[in-house]
Parts: sequence; structure tokens; C-alpha cells
Amino acid sequence: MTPRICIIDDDKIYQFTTKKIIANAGISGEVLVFSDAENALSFFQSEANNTSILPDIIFLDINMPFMDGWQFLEAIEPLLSKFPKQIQIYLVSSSVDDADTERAAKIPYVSGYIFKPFTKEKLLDSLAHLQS
Amino acid sequence: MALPDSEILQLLTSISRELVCLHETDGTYIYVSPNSKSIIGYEPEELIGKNPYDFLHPDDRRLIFERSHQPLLRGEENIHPTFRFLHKNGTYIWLQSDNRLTTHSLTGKNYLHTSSRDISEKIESDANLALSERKFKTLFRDSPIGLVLTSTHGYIDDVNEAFAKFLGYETFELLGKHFSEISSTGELEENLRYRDSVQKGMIDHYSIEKQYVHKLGHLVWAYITVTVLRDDSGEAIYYLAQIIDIDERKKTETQLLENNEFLKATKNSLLIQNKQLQSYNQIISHHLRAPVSNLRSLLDLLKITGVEEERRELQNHLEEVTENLETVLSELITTLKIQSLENYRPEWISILLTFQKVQKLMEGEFQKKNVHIELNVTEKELVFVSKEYLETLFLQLISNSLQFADPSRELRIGVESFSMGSETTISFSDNGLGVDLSRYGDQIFQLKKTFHRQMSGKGLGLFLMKYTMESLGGRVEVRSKPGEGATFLLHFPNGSAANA
Repeated sequence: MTPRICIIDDDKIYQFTTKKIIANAGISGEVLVFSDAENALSFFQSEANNTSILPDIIFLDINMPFMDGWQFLEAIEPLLSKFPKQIQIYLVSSSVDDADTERAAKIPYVSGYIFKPFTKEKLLDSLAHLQS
Repeated sequence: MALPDSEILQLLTSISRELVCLHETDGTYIYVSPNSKSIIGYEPEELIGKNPYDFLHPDDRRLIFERSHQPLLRGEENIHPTFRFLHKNGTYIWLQSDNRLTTHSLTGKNYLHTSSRDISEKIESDANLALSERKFKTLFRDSPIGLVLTSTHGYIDDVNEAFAKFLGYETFELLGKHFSEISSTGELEENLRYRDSVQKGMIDHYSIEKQYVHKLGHLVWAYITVTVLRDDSGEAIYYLAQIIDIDERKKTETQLLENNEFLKATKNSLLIQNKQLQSYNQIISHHLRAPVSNLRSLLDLLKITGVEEERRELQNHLEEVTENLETVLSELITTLKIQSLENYRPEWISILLTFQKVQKLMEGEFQKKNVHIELNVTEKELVFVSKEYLETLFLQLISNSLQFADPSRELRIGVESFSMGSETTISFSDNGLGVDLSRYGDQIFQLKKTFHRQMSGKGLGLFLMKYTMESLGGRVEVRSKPGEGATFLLHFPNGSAANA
């Protein structure tokens, strides 16, 4: 199976390199990319029942304008149980602040916390969890 | 019908409070008026034929003999001796007499005539008065508490040793001085107000803490209680001030208050520094670590890519990220410069002139975008800050206004200032897009926060502005409504607080 991957991050360079890393890892298929968490949220709301369009895994940036990663998590929580499939959410950040990692650890529906830079190894590691 | 002479005499002497007697020239009683029982306890018969010297207090006998008896016999008049006389009940009473020498008109024989009254009561009260006066004098002189007696006009009539010593004077140096000459001007008004209330009889005494001027010129703290002394008719005649030296205590107290203020200021500045460090942590994470991790990713990709076209794309991105990093670094250096206040030299700067200078720098931009500036400040309105800082702050505010201008209308920028307490405030307002503060209020000065989709603000400008203001000991406030614009209030401390 080819996992459907979703990236939510306002950093264009990060989007570019992450897509390249995914492609280089041999994962084919479309990668959903959102620069704006609010747009991503309305996408999930409208496609809540669409198994073939919903991603298997979300790499969510914490620090974004308008709606940040935390606000997105809060907004999507009620939807998670309604989705026809389980979606893993990883927080991705350049922040090494303990406060951020501790906060993430307290949220049960967050699967992990990835420090930037995003690499092939980190990608494969999170996908391995997905398949198990 | 006329009474016989003897009866008239009887009547008169019995109601009189004077004991009237006739004596031989040696003093022997010949006649004693019938009221003698009520005055000295003896019936007249008990005395007639006896000599008064037997009844006089032994200490007074000689005095009577020399000062009264002998002068009378020599023919002197108006002799009024005061002496103690043995009452029949065994106690001595004080008598005062009018004594005269009288000569029988027929025989030519001399007699002594005495008329005496009991003045024991008066003598006693006089003695008490003298005693209490003596007590007061002793108390006044020897009291360890400073005591000052001033007239109702405020001139010093008497001071004791303790008070003189407290102020470094000799007692006589203070006599006749007006109390205001030795009082600090600080509490003078309060003191006079109380004295006035006392004089009007509204209060009888008051206590205040006041400062006196020591002979050497410095001020000393005292706790004083002032009591008014009145005469029989209730008229104030003297003020008695009791002065306790509280100089040591006050100085310790002042020192403690100062230390407390200093600790509070230190605590505040530590809190601000702590907040700033947290913000700094944020900058490092997002503004530095993010582009650096991008660099790493781009370089990793460059290593494994063989396609020339892809390499060029990666290189372009590398350049972009590097430029971004350089910008962020220079902004961070600016922030660090602000933080090190050692070289910060604030002065009173004209708000108008500084703004006009910045306006000139931005003239091209203003004309291109058709910006309207309203300056409601005069050249005389000043703010305590360094010139470069104020210029930087204006540049940040202007670029913020330009960035968030509402494209559907001409941008208007207004500047005014006002002073309140120990602060001077510059108000900078625009009619731009505004911000929904109920939604973003707590985030507006945070990093990398932008609030308008069509804009790509990095959010560093407002962060830097807040940072700058807090480093100067001031603060910044924002008021805004979406669609109406925003007003920034920059509160500058006037003077020393800036260095706290």
C-alpha cells in the first residue's frame, strides 16, 4: 500500500524539500500540501467521509500564522472519531523547547514529535509505525 | 431704741471673722472678742491674763517679737505679721494680724490692739502651688524627653537640656527663637494647622512626626506631642511640646523603603528579562533553527541529485534561505543592541522633529502610496529616549501601517502625544485593516504572527517594538478594530525609571 501523506506547513522551502524527500524515499502518489491550517481544516471537514481522499498521516507544523498547530489539533479532534479511517498526526517543528514537546506528549491523538530538519529516516520511521 | 455700747460690741465681734484683742504692752490679753472659740478654739476667759507668746509656734516667736511687737512699741504703723498659732485642738493654724498701738485717752496708758484672721487655707494652696511649680520645674529640667515651652505666637520661652542637646544647642541659645527657625519646612504647614485648631479650642493636643533643623544644618526626625496650657478663663497661654528622638528609626525605615523599592524594580526588570529570554528562545527556534534545517535539507538533497535542472532549483532555494537567514540575523543583532543598555543615552527629544525626519526618509513611499499624515504635536512636546530609538520605533510603526493598509482607501497616519504622571505617551494611529484583538490580542506582539491572509508579514517588527519599549522601562499598548485601523500607544518613562 502507498500511504497518503499530508503536509501542513507555511514554509515553502520546507514543503519543497519534504516533497523531494518523500519522492526520493520511493513513495509514489500525491502529497497533500497546505500552507494554511484553516484551509486544511475545511478540507478535512468537507472530505470527512471520503476514504480515498483522506490522508493516512499528517505532518503538522506548530508555528504558523493565523491558526497554529495547536489550534489545528484542537479543531480537528472532534472529527477524528468520525473519519472512516485512522489518521496519524505527527507534530513537526524547529522548536527544541521542552514546553512544546511536553505539551505534545499530553495529547493522546498525537503520534509523535519530529524535530526539523525532516529527513528520509524520520519519514520511514513514522511510516513504519503506520503499517504496524 | 439704742442698744448699750457693750451689746453692740458683743454683736459685731460675734459675727466678725476677725479675732479682736486688746493686750498689755508686753502682750498679755486684756480683752478677747467672743468669736474666739470659732477661730482659735478657746473661750475668751481661757486667754485673758495669758500671754500670746505661749501660743505662738516656737519658730515664729522671735519673728513676731522683732518684726511686729518691738516696731509697734516704737510707734511704727501698718504691721501685718503672719504667724502660726496653737489652736485648742493641738494643731497650728495660720493667722494674719493687723496690729496697732493705742493710747487710753484719759489715763495715757499704752495698749496693743490686734485683729487677726485665719489664713490657713490660703497659705496651704499657695504652698501647694509653689510645690507643684517646683515639681514641674524639676520635671521640665531633668526630663530625658525634650520639652519646649512656646508662647502662643510661637516664640520659645523655655527648653530643657534634652531638647537642646537633641538639636546640638545650649539651652540659652534657643530661648527667644521662633519655632519655625528650627523646624524643617516639610511639616510646617501641618504643624501650623494643628496649632490653629488647638488655639481655637477644637483640640487640646496633637502628635506628629516632624523634622527639626540641627545646629549643624542637617534634619533630624522627632515625634512630638503638643499640649496647650490655658489660663483660668480658658485662654491659651503656652504650648508645651514633648519631643522624642526618632531619627534612627526613621532613617532605618527610609532605608528599608528604599531597599524595598529597589528590590521591586529589580524584580520587575528580571521578570521582563525573563520574558524577553523566552521570546529570544522562540526567535532562535523559529527564525534561526527553521532556515538552518532548511539549509540542511537542501544540502542533503543536493548531494544525491544528479539532474542539472534540479541542482539549479536547489541552489536557488539555498540562496533564498541564506538571504532570509542574513535578514533574521541582522534583526537579531539589532535586538541585542537594544538589550545592552550600557550605551543607551536617553535625552529629551522633540517628537515632532524626530517624526518629520523619519517622514522625510519615507517621502518617496508616502507619495507613491498617497499617504496622508496628520501631526497633532508641537515642537515643544518631548519624550525621554535616545534619538535613534525613537526613529527606529517610528520606522517600525510606519512600515507596519504601510503593510496593513486597507487597499480600498487612502492611508491616514496620525501622531499625537500626552503626559500623565511619570510617563509621556506617543499615540500613533492609522486607518488600516486593523486587527481583531478579541481573537489575536495576546499574540499581536509575538513572533511570526501575522493576521491578514493577503500579507506576508514576518511579525518581527511589532515584537522588536515591544522589546525595545520594555528594555527602556516603558511599555506599548494597542487598540484596534478590524476594518477601522489600529492605534499604538508608546508609554515612555520620564527620567530615572528608564535605567531601573
